[in-house]
Amino acid sequence: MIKRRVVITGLGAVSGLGLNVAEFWDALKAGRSAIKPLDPPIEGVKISLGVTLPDYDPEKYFNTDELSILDRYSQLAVIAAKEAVDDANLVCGEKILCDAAAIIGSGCGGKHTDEATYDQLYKQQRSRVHPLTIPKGMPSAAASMVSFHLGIKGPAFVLASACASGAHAIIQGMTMIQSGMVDVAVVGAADTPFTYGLLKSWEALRVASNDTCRPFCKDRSGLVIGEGAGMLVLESEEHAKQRGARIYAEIAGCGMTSDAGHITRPDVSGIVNAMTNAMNHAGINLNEVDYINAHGTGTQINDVTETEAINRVFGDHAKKLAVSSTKSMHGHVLGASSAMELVATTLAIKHGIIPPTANFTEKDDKCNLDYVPNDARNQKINTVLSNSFAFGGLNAVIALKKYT
Amino acid sequence: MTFEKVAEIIVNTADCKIEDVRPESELEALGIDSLKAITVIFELEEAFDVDIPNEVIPSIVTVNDILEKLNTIQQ
Repeated sequence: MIKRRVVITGLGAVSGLGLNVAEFWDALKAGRSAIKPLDPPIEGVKISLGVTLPDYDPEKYFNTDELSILDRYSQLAVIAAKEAVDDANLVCGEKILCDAAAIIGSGCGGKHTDEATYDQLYKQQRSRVHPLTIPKGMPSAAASMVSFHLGIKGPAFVLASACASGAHAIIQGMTMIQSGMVDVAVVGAADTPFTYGLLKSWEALRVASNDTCRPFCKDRSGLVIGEGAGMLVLESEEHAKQRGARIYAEIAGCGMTSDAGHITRPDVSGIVNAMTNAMNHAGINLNEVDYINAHGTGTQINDVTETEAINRVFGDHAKKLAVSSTKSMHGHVLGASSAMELVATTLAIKHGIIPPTANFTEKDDKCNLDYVPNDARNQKINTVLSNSFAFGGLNAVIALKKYT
Repeated sequence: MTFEKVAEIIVNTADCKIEDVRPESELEALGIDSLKAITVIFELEEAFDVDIPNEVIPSIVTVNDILEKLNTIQQ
């Protein structure tokens, strides 16, 4: 079967680096990290760092009626999706979007709503909760809200695969277009994990750093949690060309595997197979790959495992690759990370600039690749991989190519 | 007093004008759909510290119906 080519025509991002793609990309190019002390600190929580949105006022984006049913994670999904659609020169409610799909990933879903409700019930001992608690907090809420606000009436749902949710959502949209089910898909992910219960749960896992996020460095001490959303408009090549859309890059293939092993420790072979499958699916030779946007969480185990997998897949070519982790700047936005990273990777191809690994000190002996430390690099790149690996052993790798 | 409080809750939920809320006003005409109706009922329960049972909801059509049900429940 001949697969339809799938291209990226619109981008949206809401993150600690800024509330739109322009600010997001400016910060990534400058190697500027948005990691900061939580202000105010959250009482009773040992996690002291995070990447939160700067000066975000929901009322600038939504009216009171709309906000009554929008959990914070849905708000960010809608804002980023609208930006992506505007960027693709599409208009909310028009026929093209009416026929489109909206596939949204999230690691956590509407936890702000859930936790506020549980606080009222369990802590404040109140006897009733707000009637919109279910539709506002349900894990699928973001897909519904993106569908409402953009006028999308095709397939829409939320999928969850922890920290690979965004990548799996993007892949789902890509395969829907390849199969001919839809011509256009709004895909991406959103997560807003700054709630008391979630932070206490991350604290208990002992993977969050109170220093900063320094992926692949000798003195790395873990990840830093962030909030945000990344969204992309995907289209079949012929649809994009027919309407004269600007094409950022081609989303050429994907590889998905699962480890069937440890619940939190990544597995080299699972990652190796995901990267290999992505290149096979995209029809690219490993020697063509210029850059990998790494999963690169900054935890001890992830960074050595990912490095070992890259070495195993690429052999001698591994030393010629650029590998960077933008989590050092936008934080680990759980399910949304992979979508934000694909936005970053798309812009890297478009502009010929590789975003760096920020906060870089000294390379770990077990991490022997070129991690583009601290400063962005001007380099024409044609073929890239974006890696995402989730707790529970769920791996997703996306291959992007310069569109020609 | 009760009417004023009920009218305030309706205005806050339905985004209608206070002068449009009269005892004979139909809730639907004020912009209260089924979802907003359960929000109004939640706010009434909170404000008057009462429980409004599900079975009385279908018989609430006008503002006056709310006032009557509240009166019955509070007795």
